[in-house]
Amino acid sequence: MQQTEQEYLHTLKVRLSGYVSREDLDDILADYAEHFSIGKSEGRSEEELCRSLGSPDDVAKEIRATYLVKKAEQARSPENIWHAVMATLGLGLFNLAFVLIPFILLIVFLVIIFMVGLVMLVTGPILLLVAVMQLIGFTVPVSWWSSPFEGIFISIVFTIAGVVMVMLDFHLARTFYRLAIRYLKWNIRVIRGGEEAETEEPSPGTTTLSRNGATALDLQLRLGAGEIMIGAGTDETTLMNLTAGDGISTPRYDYSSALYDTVRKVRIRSRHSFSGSWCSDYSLNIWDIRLNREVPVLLDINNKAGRTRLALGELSLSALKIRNGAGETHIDLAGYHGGNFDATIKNGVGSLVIRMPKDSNLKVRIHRGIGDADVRGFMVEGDTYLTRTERPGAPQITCQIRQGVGSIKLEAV
Amino acid sequence: MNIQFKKGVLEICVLSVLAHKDCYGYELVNEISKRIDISEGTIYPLLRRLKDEGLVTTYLQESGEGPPRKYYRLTETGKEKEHSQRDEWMQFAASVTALLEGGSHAAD
Repeated sequence: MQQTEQEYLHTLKVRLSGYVSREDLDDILADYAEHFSIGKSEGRSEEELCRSLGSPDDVAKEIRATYLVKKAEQARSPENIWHAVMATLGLGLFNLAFVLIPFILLIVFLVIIFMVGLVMLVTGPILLLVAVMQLIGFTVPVSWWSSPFEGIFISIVFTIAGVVMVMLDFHLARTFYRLAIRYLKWNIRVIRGGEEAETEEPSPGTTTLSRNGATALDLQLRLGAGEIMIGAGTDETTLMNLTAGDGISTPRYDYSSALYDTVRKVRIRSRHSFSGSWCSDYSLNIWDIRLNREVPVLLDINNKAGRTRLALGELSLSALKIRNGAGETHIDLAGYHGGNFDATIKNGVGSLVIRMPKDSNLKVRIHRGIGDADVRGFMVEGDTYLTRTERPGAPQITCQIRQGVGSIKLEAV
Repeated sequence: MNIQFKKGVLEICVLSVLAHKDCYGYELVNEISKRIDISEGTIYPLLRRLKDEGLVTTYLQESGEGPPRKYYRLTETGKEKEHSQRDEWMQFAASVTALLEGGSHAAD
């Protein structure tokens, strides 16, 4: 992760512009500039300072929420309180139920009281008019009262009750407004988004995992959106090389790795942030993973959107599970000579291209969705595609393909 | 440590550090992050809020090297608040500790 003071201050400035006054903005930026200058004079690098400061987006969100709440407090308007509530929500999903649901219930309650009061306020004078007309001698068929005098009485009570309700409603709205402001302030003080909690350690751009006696790798990837590339290409002592990001910025992700007996389990999950990562504007979620060709891999990939390109021909697989939501999936197993494995491949929307090693015992079933299937180099047996070889030690691969929308190109080469 | 806890007590931590001595921002951040693992950047918004609420004031003071630094000082209200919050916290912490230890005995 490459971070400089300039980038940090720039992000902060962009995120705060339009929310706080020019003076306050300069003041805020000066605070952070001072932090950097003192930190650097103590020999810390800009990158290190950025890391310990955490994301400037989180800082900006907090300042924005504080400002909008202050604004809503000073200038009461439905618009201002709405902005304040939304900004507080932006501090983290955790607040959602805490702020939004009571807030909406409250508005509904106030609106109902207001409507009822308004109806009474309007019907009161109309009833009064009817009663007065009856008193003068017109025959108006209203059977709510036995005499015009009772009618006058009822309509006046109705009108007054309406006025009281509307006034009470305004009073309640004011009180609730004040309470809402206090509530929001408390939220800003006490609750911090879960997202922010995870920013203390930024995700590394590259990770190298050494083999250390592992005899198998169980790799699970759960990615939101991005381009995944997997292939062989580590030295003998390395189990995995992971590069995340485009070299300029890094997507946020959680990474865990543990050794069970001699099986190395690696879990990578990209982080879903409520508002996007602070560098999302210019970051590309590219994942490049290089694996050791001798260690059998259980590969389990779930990519919600984006391109998935797997060059697995030189690897040894123990199982393959691919799920691609939307985007292109390209799986190349040509030249595969590792162990037997089962594969399930599910592609949502987008084209699917699979190349399989002809010189092996393949059994492929395709569940086609909408789109053409172009299959080459297989024997067909019902909806199953096969290849046969007598070569000893040839791998046996069973594959289930489920395609949603998009073309399939399956080739045995 | 749970992040919800941290933010709630961050305010009292800042007030408490400032009760000992006036600090410039960097110094205060260091003082706190030495003991509590936190995104340091969020202390500045907190300081702004405390200033808004009249609990701290700022002044500039020359430093030996470089430009003058912005120092934070507790106001009288800030001192009172620090006092009352500290008492509250101490009581609360003592009760929770007692409860947790009691709970572990019960489990034995």
